[in-house]
Amino acid sequence: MLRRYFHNRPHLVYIGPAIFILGILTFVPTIFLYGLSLTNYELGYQDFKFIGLDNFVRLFSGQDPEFWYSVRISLGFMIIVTAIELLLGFGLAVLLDREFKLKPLAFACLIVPIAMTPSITGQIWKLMLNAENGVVNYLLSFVGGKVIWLSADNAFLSTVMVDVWQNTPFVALIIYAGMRSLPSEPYEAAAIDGANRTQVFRYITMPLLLPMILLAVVFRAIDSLKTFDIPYSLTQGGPGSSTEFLSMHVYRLGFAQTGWVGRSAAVSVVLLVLITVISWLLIRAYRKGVENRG
Amino acid sequence: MSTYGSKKLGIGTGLLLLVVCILCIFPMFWMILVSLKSKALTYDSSVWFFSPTFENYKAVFENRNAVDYLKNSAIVVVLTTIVSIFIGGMAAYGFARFEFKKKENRAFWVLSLRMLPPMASVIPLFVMASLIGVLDTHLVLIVAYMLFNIPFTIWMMRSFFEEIPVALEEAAFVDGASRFRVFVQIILPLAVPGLIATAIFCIINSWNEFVFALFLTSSHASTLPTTVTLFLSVSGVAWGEMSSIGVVTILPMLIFAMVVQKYMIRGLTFGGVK
Amino acid sequence: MAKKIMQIAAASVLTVSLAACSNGGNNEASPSASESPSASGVAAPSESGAGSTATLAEWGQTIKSKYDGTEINLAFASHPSTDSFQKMTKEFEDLTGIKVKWEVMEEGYLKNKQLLDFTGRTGTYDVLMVDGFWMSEYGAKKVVEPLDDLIADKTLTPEWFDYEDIVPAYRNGISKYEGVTYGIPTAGETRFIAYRKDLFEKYGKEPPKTMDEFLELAQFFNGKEDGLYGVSMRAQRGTHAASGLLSILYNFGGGFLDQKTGKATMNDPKTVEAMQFYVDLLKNAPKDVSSYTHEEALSAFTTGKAAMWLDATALANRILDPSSSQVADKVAFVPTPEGPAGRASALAGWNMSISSLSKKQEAAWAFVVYMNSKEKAKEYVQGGGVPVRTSVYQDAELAAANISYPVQLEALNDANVLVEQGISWIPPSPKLGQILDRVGYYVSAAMFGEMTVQEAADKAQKEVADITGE
Repeated sequence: MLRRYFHNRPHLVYIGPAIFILGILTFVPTIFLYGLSLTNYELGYQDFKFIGLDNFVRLFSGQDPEFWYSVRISLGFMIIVTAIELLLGFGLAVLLDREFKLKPLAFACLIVPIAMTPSITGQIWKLMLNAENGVVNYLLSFVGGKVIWLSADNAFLSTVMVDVWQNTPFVALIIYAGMRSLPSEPYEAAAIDGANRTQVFRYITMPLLLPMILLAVVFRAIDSLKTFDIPYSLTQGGPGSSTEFLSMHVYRLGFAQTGWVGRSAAVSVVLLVLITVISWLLIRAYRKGVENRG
Repeated sequence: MSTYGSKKLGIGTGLLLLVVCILCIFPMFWMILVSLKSKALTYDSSVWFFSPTFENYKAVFENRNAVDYLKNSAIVVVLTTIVSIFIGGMAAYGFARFEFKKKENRAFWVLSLRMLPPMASVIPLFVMASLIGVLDTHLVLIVAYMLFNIPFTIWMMRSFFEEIPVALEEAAFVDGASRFRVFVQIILPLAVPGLIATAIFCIINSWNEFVFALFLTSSHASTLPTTVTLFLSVSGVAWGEMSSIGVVTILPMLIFAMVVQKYMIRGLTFGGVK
Repeated sequence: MAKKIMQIAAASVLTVSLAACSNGGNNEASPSASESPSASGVAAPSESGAGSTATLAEWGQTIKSKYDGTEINLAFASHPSTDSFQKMTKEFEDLTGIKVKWEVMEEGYLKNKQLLDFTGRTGTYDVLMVDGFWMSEYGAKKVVEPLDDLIADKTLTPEWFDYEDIVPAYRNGISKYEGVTYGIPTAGETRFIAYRKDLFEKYGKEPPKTMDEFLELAQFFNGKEDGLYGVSMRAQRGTHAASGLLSILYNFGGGFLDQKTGKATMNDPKTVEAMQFYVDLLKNAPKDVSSYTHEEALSAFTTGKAAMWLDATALANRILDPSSSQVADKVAFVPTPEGPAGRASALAGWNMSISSLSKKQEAAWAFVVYMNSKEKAKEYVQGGGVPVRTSVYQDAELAAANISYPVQLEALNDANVLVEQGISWIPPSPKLGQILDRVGYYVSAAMFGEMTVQEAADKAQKEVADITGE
């Protein structure tokens, strides 16, 4: 009976274990999360009540202005870092796409940010960006500059800067890898047709690279939307609410400071929905890009 | 083959690359510098040359149990990577070789799991883990890390398997081998470069993971990234010690990444060629 | 499929609540139940004669006979006192045979970890270091064990421990919830001002005696010299800003709550006045003061960036330590200035408590007794610990070594003013964490000019009232 079932669906033997594990690890927690978001559960207390949609009403009726602020800066952060990293990464990939002796060394340098643990990266940048004693301001002092990097006005941009520092090489490497795997036929044809460099770039390189670029966008957009490690160790969400991204907001609501797990679960649900929608859109765009190419 | 590039490196671009490289490694360089400074010099950014001291490293290993964290990190990363690669690799093969209903939907679902914000799943995972009593064990992290490692493996390896010619397998079938044997004996060996590339990213991601480690473990199974919480105190942020444990955390990954550089960059294309 | 998942989810939610209920029941009904294995052990020595704990050495023998080889786990904050306790650990281990496993972390993480450990019912930790600010919450949630019975039992708490010697303000102010003792004060702090003697002499100024003078001086020194600011305080959004506000609040007669009725008093005119003062004062602080915890506030002062500093007495050692402070020989201290409502000063600090989930409560208590005893107090303070005992403050040798001691005692007298009025400096509410977070948020918003102080106070009032349910 069971044997026949599997015989008719041979793929299940292979994908079954993965689907099973992932299912347990995602369905159950997700349902659980939805459940929690309907309670007033508080960290450390042992009883809680179901309070219906109160937590969501609080969010959407504007009683929690910090929440909307978090949504805005999270989306802003996503768009800004993805755009900057894409541009810089593309430029860097173009720079790398030529022959020179020390290339492995250059790659070695680019890998450093990728491999650096984000939580520790945040700490070390915090030390470097310290307004009074940090090395960045020390170096700037030679050209007469001084920036209060982690002040309320600048903390957001400083976080963007650290994220750009950490992830641009990753984007550059993806695009570089894409450039290296471009087929040569279209270029030969273009050369025969006498196309100039701009035309080659516009009509051949860009469309061929599109899947890689979209891939980089998918990765970076989603990862930056759920950013946590770096703001956690760099700014702790402050000063004020200036770097309290959604993940930070979930953390601050639900844990040490206030312990409102129920309310924090409601924010998590919103974050989850937001990310699902955005990743669905991006991945669809990506698949479309891939199909068009092939 | 590379037709877009194949240019020589000019002075201008060379300098630009140099600047980029310096920017990339500067924080690491600075961290190493701070970790070798004595306490009095830590806050003085103008001091770049000094006689290094290993007192911070000594303190970290003697008083902060750095070895325990290192051990925990290593155990968790190695086990989760092996299991994820095996289970994920099988599933990737399933997706690459079989046709079944709603295949693309399921593949999309798997990929979308890679996008889950850890902050959203950590609360329920915490409660679940506490129910079955596995909080603060290696096991809970090993399993939790599969949450992002398996989808990643499936997604990377699927395109790789699809590039392996079906004819190879069919030849083996003719000889009477079962499909699973073919998978283990013929396909997997062919896929080794892809497996290595995938493993690299699994290892780096697991090694650096922070949220799950912070919430699901406390004393016995805490990994290195959580040590950032140890060095802020009323008696001063121990920047020297923090930096030295930072170096201890990052250096293994860095050396590892350098060694496998070639595979890593190659690996980046797999996901995209599909 | 979906239906099944719902069932599982429902079942698991149920299990949580069931588990929670049964645990709650246990804790309330019989705190002794968890102690019962060791309770018989307690009875034994009292039969054989209570004399066996009369001196430290004898006590050590007795403890060793019962708990040799027991391992206890500690979750402590990174704090000078913790460093000192760690120095004393070896001797304790040799004396009692109890093995001590330390976990030391920054306080924000510490509270998180302690609460997660409690919520997950892991019971990893035996001894907890608990901030006075958390005590009401921990008491209400039953994270920590009531200690009154242990303190009263002379076999467990020998004479040489001397509970009464601990400054009464600390005993009553930071370690109780609803009259029950949940912790032993280990590190007490009040708050006072440190100022730059050299600058005050240079410009012919006297240290501040009143809040008005304090503000004027801050304005005077702000920008007076290149890179010099008037004052440095903690002000980071959330708990820190609320705590910073608390340092001056009572001198204005304000409060977060009416401590008799429990009603929120955030928009009481006196509270608003204090808030306005705090906001005005910090206009004379370094530009990024809104990101300062006590840590940054301190380093701004010790690197000579601020003329005055108002924060915890416990940090005085670091200002006076030439290896970490550039101004070590140029500072003097004065108590918190007098405000419109008279003198008052902070009363905060840390406790050692026993985790209610601990399975080794008696061994844990032995650790608490040893570390906090009068017998060991001097060694503890000399190791860098922050004092809580009257006998220590009066010790001539120790006072000679630290010029801030007389001022600390004076500040403690100010703190006692509140105690006599029946006001707890730390607002006594089990929801204090949430209150501080919300108040701190609005204070911070007022500091940024996002809203006026009055608006901030009104909004904070609404949220605090919502939290306390009064």
